[in-house]
Amino acid sequence: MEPSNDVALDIIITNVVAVFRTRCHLNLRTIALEGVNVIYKPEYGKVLMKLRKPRITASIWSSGKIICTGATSEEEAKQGARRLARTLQKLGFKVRFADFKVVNVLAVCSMPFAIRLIDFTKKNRPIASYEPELHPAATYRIKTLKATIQIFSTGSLTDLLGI
Amino acid sequence: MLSNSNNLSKLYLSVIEDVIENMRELILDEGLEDRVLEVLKQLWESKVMQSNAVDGLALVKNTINSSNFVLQLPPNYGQNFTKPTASMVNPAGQNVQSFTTKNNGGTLATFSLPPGVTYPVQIPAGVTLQTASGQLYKVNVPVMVTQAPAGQCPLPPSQLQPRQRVPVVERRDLCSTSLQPAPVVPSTVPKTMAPLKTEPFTPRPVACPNAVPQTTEQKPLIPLVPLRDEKPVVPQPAVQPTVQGNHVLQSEAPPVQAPFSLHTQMSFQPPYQPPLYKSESPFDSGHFTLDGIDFDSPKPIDMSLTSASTQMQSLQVKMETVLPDGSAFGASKVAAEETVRQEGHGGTADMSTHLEGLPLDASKLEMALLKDYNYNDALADIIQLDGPSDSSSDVEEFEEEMGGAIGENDFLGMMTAEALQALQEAEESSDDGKSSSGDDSVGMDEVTVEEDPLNSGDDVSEQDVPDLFDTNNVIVCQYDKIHRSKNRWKFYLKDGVMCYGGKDYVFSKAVGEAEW
Repeated sequence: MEPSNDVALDIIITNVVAVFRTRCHLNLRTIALEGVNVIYKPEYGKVLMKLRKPRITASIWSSGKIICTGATSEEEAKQGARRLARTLQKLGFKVRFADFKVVNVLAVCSMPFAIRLIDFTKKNRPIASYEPELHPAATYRIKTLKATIQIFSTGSLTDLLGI
Repeated sequence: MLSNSNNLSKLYLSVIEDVIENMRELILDEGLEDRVLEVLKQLWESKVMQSNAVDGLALVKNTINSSNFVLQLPPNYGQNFTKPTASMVNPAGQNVQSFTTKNNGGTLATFSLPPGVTYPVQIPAGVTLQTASGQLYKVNVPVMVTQAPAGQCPLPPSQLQPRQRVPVVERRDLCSTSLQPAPVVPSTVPKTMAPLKTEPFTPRPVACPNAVPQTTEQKPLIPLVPLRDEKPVVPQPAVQPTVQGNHVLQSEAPPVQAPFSLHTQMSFQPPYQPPLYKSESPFDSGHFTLDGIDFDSPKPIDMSLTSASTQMQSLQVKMETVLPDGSAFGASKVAAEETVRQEGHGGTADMSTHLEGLPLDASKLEMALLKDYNYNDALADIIQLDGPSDSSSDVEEFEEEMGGAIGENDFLGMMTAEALQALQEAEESSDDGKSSSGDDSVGMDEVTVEEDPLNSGDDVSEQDVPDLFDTNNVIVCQYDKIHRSKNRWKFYLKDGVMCYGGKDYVFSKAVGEAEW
């Protein structure tokens, strides 16, 4: 019933989202033209830069805010973000690695047993909510941890930890 | 990829010529000599050849100029024309197969000599040849088209470039109607060679000496203007016998322009020389004999040429352009052109404007022809298929592989300033930022402790080792759609040129997949 009680369970972090600022205005066009592995999305006003080493996709805004997604660990997220800032620095922008913050961590887990969602929800009334018509999983929120866990009847859990 | 290389060669050559032609006016307006254009063209072509991006460019070039021409045969020829790519003329051979009967108007079948055609080419009698420019020439007698390095008579209508200026049919009819009835119509006749020469777009200064329309009375001439670059077209001496009896087009006489070096140039046409500058009746139906073959006077197709009063001028110009020697030709052509220009005849004015788009040599010839012809206005309606209305795709089109919108162009200048401002502000507020960010972080990673050690992030960077842009394999094209799913990319491209492995490939559509 409680998610991930068992230590033997494998909790796999699938995604870490981090943001940081460069503290300087970025010229998206320059980045798009001169950068490597970039996708320019003018309709959204941002540039996507993908890194291979830590598999990371970063959305870069002209204000200097950068959102870094796709990392598999927090450390990796930070490393990737620094690399990204380094790349921007090489392009000629006076970037500073400022305000790095991990915003989201997504992990998945799987119970070896099935879960009866209706009963579960009834027992955890205020914390868990279940709307089968909207979503097949029950949502369990932990306020203190700011975590949202989605529990599926198969026993799979999706844990979204956000700030 | 033989066909591809052929097409590619043609494409590149056509591009080169288009550019050169379009530049011609500008260059001339600037007061520069045409030599500049010629030099540019030579340089360009040599570079293309050197790059080996195109196979056999040189070959194609020669063959294009020399062997591509459009032959229109009346349907009642009853022959099976081998289609252009077929063995129209086997390179080694001489015969243009399937030319047999005489032509008598009617619908026309068109075909062009395959690029691989090499001279000499023999065209049987009765064939109506149409130059790329659209002029029709009727061959009443078997014609031997040869590539004459020197002192030989090229006969080729076949040397015209494939570009067509004018629909043949229309002209033909008009020509026939206009020409034949009037035996001596100064303008019409023929200027057989000249129109041929001028019409083809080869910028090559090939003035086939044969182009000199020697016209006998009332016989339509067959223009045998070879448009080869290097090959001087020199009517063979063998032609003489009939020629002598012919009136030279230029016999129109009067304004024999002194500076014409044609006299000397014409030496290659022994039979023609004497009559050249005599004021003989302008031939409208001249009889031009080449290699002992009589040709009917051509029906001038290029009716757009205004009929100039000064046929003599045109003749002279033509003669000038018709040079046995290519080099000399160039020089004389220049002189001729200038003289023609100086003449400033009303007709010439039209001609010059008309000719501006033509290659130097061709223009001269055409000017001459223009003056001589009485072109109907109807003929001026012939559609020009090349030049601005050319449908061939350009070689270099814009590269738009990624959506490279230029939305922030305007801000470029401002960017740096803004960046500076932002920097300054950042510096000032760095302390505030640190404190605030410190508050924000809720037990998460330290936010701003090391802001600046980014400089020491030498370890951090790397990974941009693959210099992707140093590759030699490049595609320049337009894109229909670029799609990506995760790291799988799909490209739907169009109208482009791909340089792969040093070779150039042209495509109108390309689909690609890649994984990043």
